[in-house]
Amino acid sequence: MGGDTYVMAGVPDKITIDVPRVISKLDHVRDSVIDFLKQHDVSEGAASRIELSVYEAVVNIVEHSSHENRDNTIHVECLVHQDEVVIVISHFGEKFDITKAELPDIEKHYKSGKMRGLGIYFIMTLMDKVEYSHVDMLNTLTMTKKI
Amino acid sequence: MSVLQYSSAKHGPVTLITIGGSLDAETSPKFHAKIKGEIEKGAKRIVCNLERLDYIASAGLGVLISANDELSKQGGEIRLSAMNEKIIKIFKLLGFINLFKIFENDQKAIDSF
Repeated sequence: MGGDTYVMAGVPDKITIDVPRVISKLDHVRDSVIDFLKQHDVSEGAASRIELSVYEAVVNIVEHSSHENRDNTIHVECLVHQDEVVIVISHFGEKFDITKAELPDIEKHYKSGKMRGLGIYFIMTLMDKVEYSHVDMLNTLTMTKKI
Repeated sequence: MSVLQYSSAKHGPVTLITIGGSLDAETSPKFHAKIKGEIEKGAKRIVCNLERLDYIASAGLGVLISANDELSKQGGEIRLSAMNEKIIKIFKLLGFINLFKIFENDQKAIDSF
């Protein structure tokens, strides 16, 4: 990606991406993560789960960002370590611990016809481990997937 | 920028919608507006062909769920056809594979109504 919008540095086992809190820019995160995982020969199935989880996490941040945090970027790190991929997503803002969110019963959700409320379910279903911390307004979500 | 391809055609009483590209948080509002438009025009039986869909996020799935709910109140339904392997896997992992009625091709989906 060119221009000043993103800062991306590549090292063999890790990429970092800074993305603005704008929905139309978030596919860049997806594309970068998928390209990185392909370079590491991560299977299509695992890569697809990781891609989807990362996307849902950054969408969730953008959709829940307060006005005063709109200009702060979201920082995403993706690293391959031995037999797992670790994604660390951090951003400044109000505390929102997705690991404490109540997950929907999918059949009930389907029958209810609700359009929203599946993003966290996606993440918690597709990743092996999800951890959250909030320190000095810095939210950090760490997601791990065995590969 | 995500891209969504969308086209629709009438097959008797069935509206066949073909979706390609990405159904994510960026494109789902456009998809929602289009499928809502079909319903407002009177479509009740809808088949969505997902053969060329590369990516579906929760927002896209949410539109399908919501539109299906809207149709069910009018005695209609959305049925899915020609899903590619990647999308089938996502539906299976998330537990949606048995909730939607899914057919291997458009004709079977159309004939099922």
